[in-house]
Amino acid sequence: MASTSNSTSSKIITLRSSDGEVFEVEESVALESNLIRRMMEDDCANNIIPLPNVTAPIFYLVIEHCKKHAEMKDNKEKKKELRSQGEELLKSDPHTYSNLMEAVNYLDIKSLMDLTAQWLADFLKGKSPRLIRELLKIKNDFTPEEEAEILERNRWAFD
Amino acid sequence: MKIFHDKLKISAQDSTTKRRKRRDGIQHNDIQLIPEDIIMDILSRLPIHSLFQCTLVSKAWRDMIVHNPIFATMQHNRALENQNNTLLMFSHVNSPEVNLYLVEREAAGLRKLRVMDAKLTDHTCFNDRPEILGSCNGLLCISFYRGHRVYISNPITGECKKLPSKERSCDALVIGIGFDSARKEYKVVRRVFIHEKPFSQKIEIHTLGTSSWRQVVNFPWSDRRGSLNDFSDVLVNGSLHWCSRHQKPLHITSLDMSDEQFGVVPTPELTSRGDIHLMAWKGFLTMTQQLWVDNSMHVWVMKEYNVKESWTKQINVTMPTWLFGGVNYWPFDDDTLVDDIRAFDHPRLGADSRTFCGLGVMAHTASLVSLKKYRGRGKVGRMKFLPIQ
Repeated sequence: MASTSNSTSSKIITLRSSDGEVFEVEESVALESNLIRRMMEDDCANNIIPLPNVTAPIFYLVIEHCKKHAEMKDNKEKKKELRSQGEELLKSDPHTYSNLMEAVNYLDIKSLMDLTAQWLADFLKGKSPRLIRELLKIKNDFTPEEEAEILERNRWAFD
Repeated sequence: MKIFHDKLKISAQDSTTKRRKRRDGIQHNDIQLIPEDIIMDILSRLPIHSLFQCTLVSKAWRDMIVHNPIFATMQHNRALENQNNTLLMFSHVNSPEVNLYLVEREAAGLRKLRVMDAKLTDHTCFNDRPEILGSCNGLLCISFYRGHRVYISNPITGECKKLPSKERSCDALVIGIGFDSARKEYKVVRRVFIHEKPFSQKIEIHTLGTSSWRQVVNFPWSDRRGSLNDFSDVLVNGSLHWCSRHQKPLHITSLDMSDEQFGVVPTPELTSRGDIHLMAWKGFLTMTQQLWVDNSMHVWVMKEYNVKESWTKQINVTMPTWLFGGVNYWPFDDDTLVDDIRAFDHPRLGADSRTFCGLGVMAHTASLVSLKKYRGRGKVGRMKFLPIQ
């Protein structure tokens, strides 16, 4: 075990992104990531923790959102605000959204996984199948007959 | 080309799900491919209407939404957690069919309701007016032929299952549906008359997926007529609740869905006379009283469970006349939703039919929960939910 478990106040963890930038992060924030937690428990984190799958700009975003998430606990207004930011990001910069989600998934941060998944869910709400396919680059593999059959079977659900 | 890394093993999501990578054309500045378990998580958050739209996206999506039991469970849990504002409205016409309207709000604060409609008919030989008795965690309890045949059904999937019954309906009456959250079991409650003198009755429970009914031992009102008359889906604090309307003093009986023990819950001190109705509102036991004098409605909320002093009079509202008595849901903290329901308009439901037939409103969790999970020995059938022409 690392000697970190009983230090409660701001111990600093040093992390290095894939493009070589070094970050100093408070332990409480870093431990939001189950990946980092496991690395520390395995004692392979005495020095700088390498994060080969996360670039610096994305890591900035991750930390920022971790902090926001910690702040908004029990604050309904902030929660709403954070939830509504997803739409903007998905509209303006879907590429960054993907990278953020990928990083969050890799770092295994439960709270942000929840948030980013909710963002995309909110974004998909009410969109037509065609739009969703375009957005997520999914190929339509239904024949027109199959499509008609689904429409017929669930007519109550389609306008 | 960038794809998600294989380190996904450590994902917080269900690791038993098979992961597949799509190799569709990926361009810069697009959302890149998302692993299937995360897609599952995302789709499980969608309201039911959007979810059904998504069945048309691709075969993989359709199979996930319609055929994957892991997804069904995920969506079900999520829907319960979020307490989505999904309402089930049904017409109350005296005909062999009931028109069902599933109403969703598209976003909080938006006054737009999305309506899905279907009519409920029974495809078996009998042709009698179905009655929606109650809704619990995504399942409906529907009675045909005045309680002779009682079905449990998920109106979203169309699955239905008949409850076992050998008794005549006048001897055995289904009076409640609840959920034991510890065991994740649905339980149906019925009252059975015993043909002996003096008058006697017993309460039995059927666990969905089994084939029998078993008696609940400590029923306190076995010798009293008029107790536990209404159907109850009022699930608060893990117990179902019934209110006696006709008895004095007023009392509320509870039945714990987990240990199956009866209890008595204190009631508020009512000063006026009117029709009493119980419901679960935001997890609180709530009593509505529609006054005989002016048809206005008093709403009482028990802020702390089982504490008499915590009954608080919340608000007085006037009931739209077309809402008939069996309302288990009243969104009285939300004016826009009240207006929405009031303004609820549908070609099949003109002002006239509202006035004459009435419209029932029920809070319903739209869920993909499958009855096959609770199959037991019985067959899972399909109830027809036809689109209204």
